[in-house]
Amino acid sequence: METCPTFLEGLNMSRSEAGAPIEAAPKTETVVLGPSPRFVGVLRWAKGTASLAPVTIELDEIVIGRQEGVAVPLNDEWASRRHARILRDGDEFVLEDLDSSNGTYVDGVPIVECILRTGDWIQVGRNLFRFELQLGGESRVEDVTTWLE
Amino acid sequence: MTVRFWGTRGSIPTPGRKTEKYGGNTTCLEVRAGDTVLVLDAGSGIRELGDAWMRSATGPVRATLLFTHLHWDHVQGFPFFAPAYQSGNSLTVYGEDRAAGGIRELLSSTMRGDFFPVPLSAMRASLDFRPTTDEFQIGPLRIRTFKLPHPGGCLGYRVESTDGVLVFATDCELDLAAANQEDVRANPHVRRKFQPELIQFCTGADLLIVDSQFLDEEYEARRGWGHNPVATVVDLCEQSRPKMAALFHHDPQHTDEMVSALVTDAFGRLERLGVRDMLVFAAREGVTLRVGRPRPPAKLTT
Repeated sequence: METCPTFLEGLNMSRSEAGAPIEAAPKTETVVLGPSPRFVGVLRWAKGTASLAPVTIELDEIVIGRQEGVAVPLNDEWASRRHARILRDGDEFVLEDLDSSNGTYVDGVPIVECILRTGDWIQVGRNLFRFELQLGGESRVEDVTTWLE
Repeated sequence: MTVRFWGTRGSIPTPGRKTEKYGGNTTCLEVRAGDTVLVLDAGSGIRELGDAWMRSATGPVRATLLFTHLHWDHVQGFPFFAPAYQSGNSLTVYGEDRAAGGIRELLSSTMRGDFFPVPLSAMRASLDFRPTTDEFQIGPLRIRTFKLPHPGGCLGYRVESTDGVLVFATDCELDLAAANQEDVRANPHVRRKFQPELIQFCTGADLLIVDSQFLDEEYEARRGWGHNPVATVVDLCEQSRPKMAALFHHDPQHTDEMVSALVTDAFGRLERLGVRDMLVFAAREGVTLRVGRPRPPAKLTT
């Protein structure tokens, strides 16, 4: 049975690997011009031992903890030195617990890792934050339709 | 042992803003215990799981897929599971033998003819299909199965490691197996009395992931569809006492607000039953949890 080349390309498979003939096929490509910056994450301190201004997450990684120099420093004996971090992956923001002693919680649930959504409550030590996604600029993603040979 | 939710929705994928918190992909879990990797069901969530593995793999993928049953929302992602097309990878696939065939024949039939353009034979990974039994071992993990009441049947899985116990009981309508089902039907507020075998299967779980598709008020009109109302789930939790319970298989009609309301309903019934030492929450796509006794968070200062 003949395999579908477009489908296999979606799975990052080569046509030759799948044993299918190479044929002309219409294809829509999404071209991403650099990291997609449509949204920025904002971490708003809500309650606890710290009193922090909102942190806009524009870097690929920010760390929360007691260690001096981290993006979200906490004067909190319940927080580990490097307690948790937020990684940016395009428009997604992923919270990771860094093997902290007292855990990282999202909406009261202890997590190892969590893709954050707007409105999430994040607890680190004795501090509570609210996460928000905000529009942070124009889309840099373009749809390009071509007829490939 | 950790578990990651790649798909939490029931019945059909439900993308969109109304479901972005709990997720729109159908059933798929990734369980890791050291080097041992299990995938429970291949709903639409398995596509992103496979893509993540392909991006991060530093060597051949070795994993075991366990199927609870083969309704669409539990298999529809299988043909899109990229690691299965990569030679050098090894996948062991467990599923229940049915009258129509074994797991290989049944999965192959979903990728045949008019249904899908790529046949199972295009998968270049080493695929080892095996029938499930009551109990078997995968690396360090002891697996037990239990037949759940669901149209066509469904297997529950209990996964035991040295550091935790996970029970996965999706797609079940436990009211139909309750010893006092007539009383419950007459008065849905009545506490269910479940069969001892079910309670034994669930008891000792650090994390119970359980079908909680319907709000209580929705259930009567959906009786026989094979899914639980939240009161049933709470009664199971009260009798089997998991340390954590994840409400799962969210109804495709339910918005994030409705799923959150379901959790609130669960809290209310748990409190009325006097259960206060259990963490109950709605399963959420994109979340990884450790399977073990959860520590309560620190008390917040003001």
